[in-house]
Formats: sequence, structure tokens, C-alpha cells
Amino acid sequence: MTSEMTETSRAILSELAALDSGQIDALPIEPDLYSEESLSAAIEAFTDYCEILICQTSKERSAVIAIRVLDVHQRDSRKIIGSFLSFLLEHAVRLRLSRESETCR
Amino acid sequence: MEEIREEPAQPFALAIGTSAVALEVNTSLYEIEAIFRAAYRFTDRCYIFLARPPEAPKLISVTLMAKQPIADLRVLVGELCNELIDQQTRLALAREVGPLRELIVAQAFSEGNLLDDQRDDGDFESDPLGIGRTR
Repeated sequence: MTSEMTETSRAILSELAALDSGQIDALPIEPDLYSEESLSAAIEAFTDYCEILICQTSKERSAVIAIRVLDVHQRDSRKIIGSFLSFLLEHAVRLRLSRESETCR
Repeated sequence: MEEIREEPAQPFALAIGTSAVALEVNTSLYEIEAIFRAAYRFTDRCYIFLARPPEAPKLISVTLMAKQPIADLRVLVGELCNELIDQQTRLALAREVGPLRELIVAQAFSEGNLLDDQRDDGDFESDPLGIGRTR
């Protein structure tokens, strides 16, 4: 089976392959993958390390974020942006699990 | 800008730079829940980002960035593919045997008999199951 990678995936890969630059210009955030709550928690947690800009897209509820690591932390850019993404993922997983256990109860 | 190489023979579209790798997972094969769980298992070794390409809403794009330099990022992709199968199977099994498991746990913690509430209450005189009755 042959399949071609979508433009979006290529663009994300290009952005994230350059984590060391300390700047991510556009990462699409889908609300069914990462909720607003997870995004807000991640932004709050990393506010001392980077600036994060959220732009609402024309598509309903989805957003694009831009990340710029603060100058004083430029040496740790890769770690900071990567940790931001990990935080976002872990928060989203925790929310999903808590929703699941709520249903069980 | 790092070079992106595409490997069209893979079941998922796959591109490899020197520090990041992306694959697209079809949600008709793997549920979002399984994708999240599989991705979570890799957070000790990788930074991971999930996205849904608007041009292909059935796909989830998973981008992995190794925390430590790794000789061949394709090894990570292979492991993630196996983890996806593992998590999807767990979800399917949970759905299949979940109600039975819940019943066993509930029975273990309950005082009465959940399947037959008369079974433990009766005695040989009341004979609720009609064992002593002539046929």
C-alpha cells in the first residue's frame, strides 16, 4: 500500500525538526485532541520559559499556536519546547483517563 | 532546514529528518484513545505532538522527537507501531470482557449474590431453587 504524507504533517515535521532554533511558528491544535483546558494548563506552566501565542483559525474551535523561547533560556530551547509538548500530551491523557473513570463511577 | 525523506512503501506515510520523525495513523484502524495511550508510553524517550491534518480528517499525524540522539529513528517508529497494536487490542479486550470483569469485582465486594439474590437467603426449608421438589 502506498500513501503520501499530508502537507500538514510535513509542515509540522519541518517545524519540530528545528526545535533547537527556539521558535515554532505554527502548530495546529485540534480541540478534540488537546482541549482548551490542557492548552491553558501548559501555557501557564511554561510562562517563565517561553512566549506562546494562540491564533484562532477559521475552522471552528481549532487553533494554531506559535512558541518562542525567552532569550535567557535559548540554550535549552529543545528541552523547553519538547517539555511543553509532553506536558500538553500528558495533561490531555490525564483528562481522558479521568473522564473514563467518571463514566465507570 | 533538515532534509525530509519519505518512504512510500510503508503502511503509514513516514518522513524522517535527522532528529524528528512523523507518521500518520489511520483512525479507522486505531482509535484515538489507543493512539493517545501508545504516544504516552513514549514520553520518557521522545517529545510527541499529535495533530489532525484538515486535508485528511481520518488521519492522526504523530510527530516524534527523540530526547537523546538516536542512530535510527525508524526503530522508534517500529516500536510505536507495535505499541499501537497493543493498545488497540487492549481496548478491544476491555470492551469484550469489561462487563464480566466489573461483575466479578462487584461480586467480590458485595455481601449478597448479585446473579441470584435468593441463593444465599434461602434455606433447605424454603427451598427457593426447588431442589427437593419431585419432578
